[in-house]
Amino acid sequence: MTHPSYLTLDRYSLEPHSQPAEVATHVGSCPRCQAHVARLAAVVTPSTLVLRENERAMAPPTPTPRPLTFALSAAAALLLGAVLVVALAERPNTAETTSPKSARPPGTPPNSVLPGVELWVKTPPGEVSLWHGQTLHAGDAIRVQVQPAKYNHVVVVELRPPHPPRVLYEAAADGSKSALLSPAWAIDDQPTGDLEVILSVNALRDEQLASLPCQESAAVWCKRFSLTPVDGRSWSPP
Amino acid sequence: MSGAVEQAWRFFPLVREKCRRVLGDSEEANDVAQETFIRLWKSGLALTDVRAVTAWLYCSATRLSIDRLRNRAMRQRPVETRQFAEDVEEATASRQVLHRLVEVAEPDELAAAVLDRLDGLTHAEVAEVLGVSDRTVRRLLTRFDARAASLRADA
Repeated sequence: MTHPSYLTLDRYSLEPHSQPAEVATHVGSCPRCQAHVARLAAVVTPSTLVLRENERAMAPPTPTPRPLTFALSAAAALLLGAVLVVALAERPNTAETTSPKSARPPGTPPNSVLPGVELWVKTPPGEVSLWHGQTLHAGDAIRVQVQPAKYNHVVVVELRPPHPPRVLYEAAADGSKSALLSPAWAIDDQPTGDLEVILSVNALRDEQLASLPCQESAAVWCKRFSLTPVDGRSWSPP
Repeated sequence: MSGAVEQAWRFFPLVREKCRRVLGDSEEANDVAQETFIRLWKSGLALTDVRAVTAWLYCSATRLSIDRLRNRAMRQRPVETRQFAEDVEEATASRQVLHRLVEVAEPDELAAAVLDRLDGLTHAEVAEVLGVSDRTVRRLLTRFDARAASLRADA
């Protein structure tokens, strides 16, 4: 099997839609490449450091190195954070003045992080990986990780036509950090459907929720996942 | 933590993994990844341009890792042969060849070999990362292979 280069996989991990569809197809069926992509998301970062203790059961997999290695890694991560903060403070110009303004999406405030959503899949007996379109089975569990960026609310909606959209999760979001939403949804044998994650500046009104699927605007960002597996299984709240 | 710093953080895992592939040692990889990161920060590169940032990181991390290998060779530190679960036999063999050639090969040859043999980049991707032509990449790899063949003949 010919694997994509690590550079391609890394770019795919950062911006899945920037790569050809063949890359996603390959990653979805290749354990080695899937493991590499998952490992990139699993390394300790400021985002994963803020995960609550009770979320660890479904947290992205983290390496289990020797205790000394872990201590050194943690120390290194803290040191890097400190260095970067110091570097930020010492720079004569901040990133927003040195970075070309054209690189910023229109309307995005300086230094903002772009919004994003990832799905994690936990497969019995406990293997956790990023969802790349692979087939889901009964007993699997999915969990949503969001990077709200400038948005303040997050809503997770089940779209299962002809039934009306059903809100599975709704909460305020802290735009400064990535968060793993606390509920996990189990895969069952119900008819298939989609999952839509909506980030918004203000809480969505009932009429907006009733008119889903979501229409993006300056105040609303959304991402839809077609979880329809080939074997006809789908997902539902536990 | 500012948005810019957090935006930079998302590149850290790939840099660390990249350094680990070259160095074969997680702790050294962390050191080099941090050094690469500080340089990225100082570079003023627009962090939103993922393609440019990843190419820049691959180039810088490769060169810094090679420097580290050279320093290691000068200290006559035993070559790490620790194998990670994801490494294939071929990658481990390539790394061992790199470690043996690090003192005699030219930096550009080593960089091209690291990107081609360990990171599995296409010639076009190596050319993009190093900022040279495809033809130059082929020439660098040919020279590297000649040195490796010579090394094997001497052994």
